[in-house]
Amino acid sequence: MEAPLADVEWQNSLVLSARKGEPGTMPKLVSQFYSAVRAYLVRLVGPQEADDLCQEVFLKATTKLDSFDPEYPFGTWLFRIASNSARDFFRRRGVRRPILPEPTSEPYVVSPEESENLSRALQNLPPDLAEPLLLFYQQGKTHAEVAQLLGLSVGAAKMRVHRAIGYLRALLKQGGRL
Amino acid sequence: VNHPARENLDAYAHGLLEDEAASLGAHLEACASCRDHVENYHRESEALAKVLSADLQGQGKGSSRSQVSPRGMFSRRGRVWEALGAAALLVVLGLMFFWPVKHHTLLTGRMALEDGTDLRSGARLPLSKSWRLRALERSALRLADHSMVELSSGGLIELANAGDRGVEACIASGEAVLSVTRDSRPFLMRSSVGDVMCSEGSFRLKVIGSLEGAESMKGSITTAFVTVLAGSVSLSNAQGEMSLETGRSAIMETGRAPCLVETQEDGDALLKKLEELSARIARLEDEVQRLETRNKNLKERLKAAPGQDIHPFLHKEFRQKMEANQESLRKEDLQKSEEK
Repeated sequence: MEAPLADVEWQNSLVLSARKGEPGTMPKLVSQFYSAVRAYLVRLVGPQEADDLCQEVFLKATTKLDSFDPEYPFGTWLFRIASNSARDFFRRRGVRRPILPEPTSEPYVVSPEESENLSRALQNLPPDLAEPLLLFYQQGKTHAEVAQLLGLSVGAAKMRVHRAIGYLRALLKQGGRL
Repeated sequence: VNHPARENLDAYAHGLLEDEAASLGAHLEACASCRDHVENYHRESEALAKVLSADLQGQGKGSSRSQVSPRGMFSRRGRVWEALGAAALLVVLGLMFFWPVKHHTLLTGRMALEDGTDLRSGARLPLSKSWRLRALERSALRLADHSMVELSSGGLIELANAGDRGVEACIASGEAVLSVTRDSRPFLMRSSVGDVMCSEGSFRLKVIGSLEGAESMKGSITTAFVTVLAGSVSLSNAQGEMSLETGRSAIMETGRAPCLVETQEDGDALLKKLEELSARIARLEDEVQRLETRNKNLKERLKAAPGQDIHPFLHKEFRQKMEANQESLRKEDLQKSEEK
């Protein structure tokens, strides 16, 4: 499911305008993507840290706008910054993830009331599994887009989403906790 | 009937099977039990997408991946919830940017205080005090007014609880990128060669030549190079002032009014030349200091050991000069003691 071309073109034209320094374009870009990036980071690192990290992502994007290649969608570039920032965050904090339970192929239908458990479970997943899962299910990216964003092959992206679900099921069955 | 393994049905439902997909599809057409299992996996996927995509919508409106894509939020086409989302976003952004806090926060990187105390990300510095911070690596600070400063490794910045905004910064060396939150009271960034004021926007300020040794040769060519990334800024020093719009660059230096750099190419070339010149002068300065120290040490050794030939390895002429110097120093000392 590709983004409508007009949207990508419009976003990229905003970026080019922002590069040229047209007033008001950067706030437009921020408001377009802020809630999506924040939602992604909230599930990845938790609400306490997501706000600071989200600011960091937009600060990096603002200062590195020159390195953006308008051949690709701006959202893809921005989420790559968000993923890298989350990884840096885990590295800085020296987060060591505990051993996960055995993945299961028994489906688990999560309900909206279990959103907290889902957050806990996602934060217990290693980032290389949580990121593709969030990009696919939360951000609505296709497997191909997830692959491009994380520098993987399409097959590897599919496999990671699938593996992430296996672990997620096992974690959700115990309330998201390890 | 041989039913496929549950793992295979799971992989099939997630589109992972390629070669076996056709045969498994044929089995599913004939097997209601396996169809139910696959249906469960689809329900699981839809539920997961529904709960997670609700994060984006903010109005509690759930949607599954197969119904409404969360990408809808990026769409230009008007939707009622987009307007509601935008309003909610404005509130969130407003709270985020304008909620007053009483401290600066080190978001990323590592900095050191004047007394050598090491600061790690997450460190908070009360607004009520002044701070002199050196970046030990590239670091980002969120100031009490929610403006952001990214400082290059080795950069030196001072923060003070001053001015209309209650926050002022002064850069002594390095490169800083400031993203200033909107406020009618402008943010003031000082430097020894001029000030930058900004009410909203983002700018880069690069100091070439250390301001720490402003009385030395190194400091004598101190220049600040300012580029506006978003919004506009005002530059001023004792010689004049100017305003600078997005994408434009200017130079500030001692004894001259701020000066616009006409094109980006000119700016880059100039910046490179200034950096090279600054580096050469810094090397010369270091060499002069080294020679001065050596000379001082030699004089002290001569004073401490009068009459001794302590430089047998020197040329005769040079030794004679040193001895003459030693003699004159001795006479000076004698004269001083007589005066006393």
